[in-house]
Amino acid sequence: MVRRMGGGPVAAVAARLAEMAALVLAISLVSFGLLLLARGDAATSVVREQGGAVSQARIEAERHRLGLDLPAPQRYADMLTRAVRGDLGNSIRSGRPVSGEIASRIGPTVTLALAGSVVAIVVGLFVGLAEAAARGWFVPALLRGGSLLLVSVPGFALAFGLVAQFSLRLGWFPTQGTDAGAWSLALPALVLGLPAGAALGRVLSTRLREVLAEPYLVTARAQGHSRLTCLLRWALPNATVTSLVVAGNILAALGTGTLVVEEVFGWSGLGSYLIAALRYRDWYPLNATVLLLCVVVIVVRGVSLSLATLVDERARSTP
Amino acid sequence: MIRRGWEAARRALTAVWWSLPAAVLAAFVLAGAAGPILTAGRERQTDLNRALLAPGAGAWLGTDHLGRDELVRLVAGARGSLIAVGVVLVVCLVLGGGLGVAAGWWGGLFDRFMLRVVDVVTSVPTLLLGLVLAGLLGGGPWQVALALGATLWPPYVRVIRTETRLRRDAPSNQALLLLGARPPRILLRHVLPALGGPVTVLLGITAAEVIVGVATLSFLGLGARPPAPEWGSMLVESRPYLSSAPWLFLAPAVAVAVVAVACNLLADRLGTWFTHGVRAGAVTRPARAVRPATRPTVADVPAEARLQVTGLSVDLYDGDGYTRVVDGVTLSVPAGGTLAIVGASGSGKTMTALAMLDLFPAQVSARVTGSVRLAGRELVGLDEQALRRVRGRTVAYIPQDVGGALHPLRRVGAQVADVVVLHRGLRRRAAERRALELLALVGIDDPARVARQRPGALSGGMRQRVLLAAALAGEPPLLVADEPTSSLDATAAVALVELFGEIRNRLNTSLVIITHELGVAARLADTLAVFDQGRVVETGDTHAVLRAPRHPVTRRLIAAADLPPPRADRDTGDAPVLLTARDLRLVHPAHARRPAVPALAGADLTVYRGEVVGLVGNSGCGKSTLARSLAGLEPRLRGTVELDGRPVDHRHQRVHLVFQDPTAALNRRQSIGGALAEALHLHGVRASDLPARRTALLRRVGLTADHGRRRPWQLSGGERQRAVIARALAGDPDLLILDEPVSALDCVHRADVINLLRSLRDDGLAMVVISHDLGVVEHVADRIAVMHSGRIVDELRPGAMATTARHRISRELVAARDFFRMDTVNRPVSLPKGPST
Repeated sequence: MVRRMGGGPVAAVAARLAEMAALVLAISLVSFGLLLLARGDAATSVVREQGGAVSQARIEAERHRLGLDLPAPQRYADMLTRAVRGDLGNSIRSGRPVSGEIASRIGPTVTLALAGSVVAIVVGLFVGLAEAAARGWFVPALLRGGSLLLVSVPGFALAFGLVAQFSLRLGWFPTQGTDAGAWSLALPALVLGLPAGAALGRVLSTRLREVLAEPYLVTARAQGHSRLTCLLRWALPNATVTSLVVAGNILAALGTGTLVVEEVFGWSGLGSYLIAALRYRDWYPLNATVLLLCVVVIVVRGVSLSLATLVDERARSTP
Repeated sequence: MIRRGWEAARRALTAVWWSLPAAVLAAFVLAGAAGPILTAGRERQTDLNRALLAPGAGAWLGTDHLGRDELVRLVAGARGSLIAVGVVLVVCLVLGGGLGVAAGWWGGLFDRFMLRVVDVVTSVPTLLLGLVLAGLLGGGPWQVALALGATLWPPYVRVIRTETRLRRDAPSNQALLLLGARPPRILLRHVLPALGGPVTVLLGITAAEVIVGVATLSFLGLGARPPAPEWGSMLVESRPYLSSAPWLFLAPAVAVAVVAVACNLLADRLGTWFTHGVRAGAVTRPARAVRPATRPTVADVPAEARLQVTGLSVDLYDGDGYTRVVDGVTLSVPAGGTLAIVGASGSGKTMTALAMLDLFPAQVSARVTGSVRLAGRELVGLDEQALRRVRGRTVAYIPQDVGGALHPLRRVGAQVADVVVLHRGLRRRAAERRALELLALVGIDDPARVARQRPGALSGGMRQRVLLAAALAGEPPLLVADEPTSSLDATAAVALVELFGEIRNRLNTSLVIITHELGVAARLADTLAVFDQGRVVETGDTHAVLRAPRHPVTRRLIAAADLPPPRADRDTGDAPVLLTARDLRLVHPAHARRPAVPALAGADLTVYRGEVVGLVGNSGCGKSTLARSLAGLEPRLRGTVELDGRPVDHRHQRVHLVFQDPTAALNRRQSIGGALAEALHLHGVRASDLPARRTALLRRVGLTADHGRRRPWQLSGGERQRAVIARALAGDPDLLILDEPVSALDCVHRADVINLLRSLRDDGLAMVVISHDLGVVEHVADRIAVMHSGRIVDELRPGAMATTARHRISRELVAARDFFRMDTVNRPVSLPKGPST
């Protein structure tokens, strides 16, 4: 993506950062545009919530009170200037500042996403390496079939299944909430991390099999290195380079995966906040949450892409 | 009988394996399309008397809490998913495909703009965008479908753009451009059909994503709402009954998973089929070498033999059965001796070497029989554990460096040190010091600097030396080197052959050199083993064999390596000028990973009518760029190229170019005859004349009508190259440029192609023949131009090269050519004996 030459790493990082900032700006424009397309707005929700007869006049009045009748460009510019000053606006539904509400809800989501990433990376490495290393046809077929099945089941269905088995039948884990500490984290982290791990494992094992067929693996074996050394020292680093970008995408998607998992397990995190805002057309919280999740994606992808470019460049050029 | 039964069972299994996903998808489409007719509204009929019935006769999949039949609802629920899959695939193909092809084909500003747009859309997570869109648009099936479609198209732009770009610039399409094909023809006939494979795979993944996505949106309350029958909302409704009525959960969950898996599997197989035209990898056997318990007894092993191979055979499993690729090979190498294994490609040379140490790649299933004794110890039948201690320590095998035989990410010093640690048991620090000594031993001047580099930064000759250093790290008494010189420039090859001789003399190492270059064998080996179709057809003292070959295969190899000199000086002196190139300059622009490189720096060249000009130089001197420039394919070229006084333009179809790699120069989906017919058609040959002209072309280059029916991958390298030349001839060019026409071929095919070029020369065709090897061009050229650093620096006369060479590079090239010439090998070999220590 960055096609500039020279300037060293500082310039490259600066260029990448500028690119990310431009991306965030573009996304804020897209997400604002989407809200304009929406059917209904917060004024309708407010009037509906106040009860009584829902008349067009009441909605218009509410719209005026909330400033929703201003021209769209002005609203966008207003939102931007406020955001630059650190003010993300107030929730229409609760009247409280969005930044405060996000701060109070971000903890569980971050915990969940990190735990899910750990599960995903561990599972991904295990599935990828085991499938590439296994002999015969049974074990690889089992791992391939299992990982394909995991990526083909909706996350919430997997959650229901795990809850039915481990919470309802065996009673090992709570079905809802965050009260039981690590125990309440286990199932959500698995639901989030298993499919992502399966996806990672599929990518990694494909790349590993490609690398294992490379001529330099014949060299490694001819030099007398053991199968394990060949796999870990020769195949894995080379397979990881080509998997990095895809891995970045998969891990970045975990951020939004938390939405579903929070909904299933009744966690009060960013996901449920976003969905509530979406239903209410409460657009300051909605915009802020969408942008926050996008920034996470951009950063994770940017890091994985930079790593891949760095390693790739090393492989090609003089130090 | 048993074998036939097994075959039938295997075929049946393959058929089921193929048809199962197809059947699942057919059922899904049927349910989605004909659902309303099949269910007749029963999916909404509630009957509280029949609530939560377990699966049974009345309701095959049971009933839900409102007494609705689960199976009926499952069938009705397919509709929403099917609509979404259909809409999304159309959106992705039309929007993603259209924009992708446009961006890849035109490139430039539009391409960069599209990449940015794709960047923005993919930075919004799919689920999030779909969620927001579905939430904002409403939850009907069409809205959900549109929401998902809007999120899933960007990968298509990226993949299709990249594939289009790659194929647009592929040599096969550039060749068509030179033959007069218009860009739309290339796009429609050669680029778009080739996208089928990757796009099909992508479509399958997308379909699976859509099915999962529809269900997820319903779950989040942003898609279909209960009581609408939809798999996602059925899952939501099943939640309170997870313990009491698990079938309510299982039925839709299994439906979603099975359809999604089927999409993935079918697309995967269709993609393979599109790309390769075969059902590749339908059934594979475990890669496990099978060895018999009994071994031939070795009666008379010469006592001094360091390596004794007796009756070695290799059978490879190819999906239908075993094929013998090495057949009863017997060889012996004494201590300190050198054996050269020579033969055409595919004669079993490499297989023999791999079999000795069981080094077959994981995907190859091989059966090895016979005996390989190393200093009296049998290797065939050893387990992996024991073999590992032999590899690198008792025998070092240096594989061919095609595509890189070194770890691309690890510093080369560390790679050598790894072997030292493994076999000499040194600590890391000491091993790294030893690695520096080894790098110095193989003639690397600045080992400390080179040790810190990665293979990508090294030249082919340097990589070959590093491989040798790593091989010597275990101090093995026997070294097996596979084609150590074949990817090198002539001068680098000479240096490497000298190095091998020096190492052998200094360390008293036995050497096995596998090569198709008789010149290399003659310079290094005391004994020669000639391979043909997996057998040793002749073996003996190198000079005796070369002087008095007994077997016809040996005679053919020698004849190919020692072509008779070209017919005495032709007189092209007063022929009119055909092409003049003046002061050509071209700088390849800076790229992400490298600074701007000047490829041409004031090159001049004149070609007279009917004349053949040879163009030689080491790799990186600008030969290929000059070739493309002369054909009018380099838009950035500065300077003038004139043909008969008019500026050259690829649209004039008067200069044709035979690209370096014959495989890349042909469209793998087109038969050879088809490619020739297209070229003739482009040249304006009438349809009624096509078959006759096509046959004539095939015959002209020595191919048959049978070759014309085959696809490129069904031909040997030499046959492919001839097909490419035939296609270039179809356009009746005034000038034919051939870029390294024989460097990918073994010596036998090389001689065939050189003879073809000679006969074209005798027909009066003007040619520019490019090679890094003076020994190739001297056989066809009237005049040889020597290129160095983007400039023509010298001109040689084929009959008197040594006397006409003035530039340093020319003298080196002439020396390298003399070094490997067959008429010098019968003279005493004067290899340097190494430092007198």
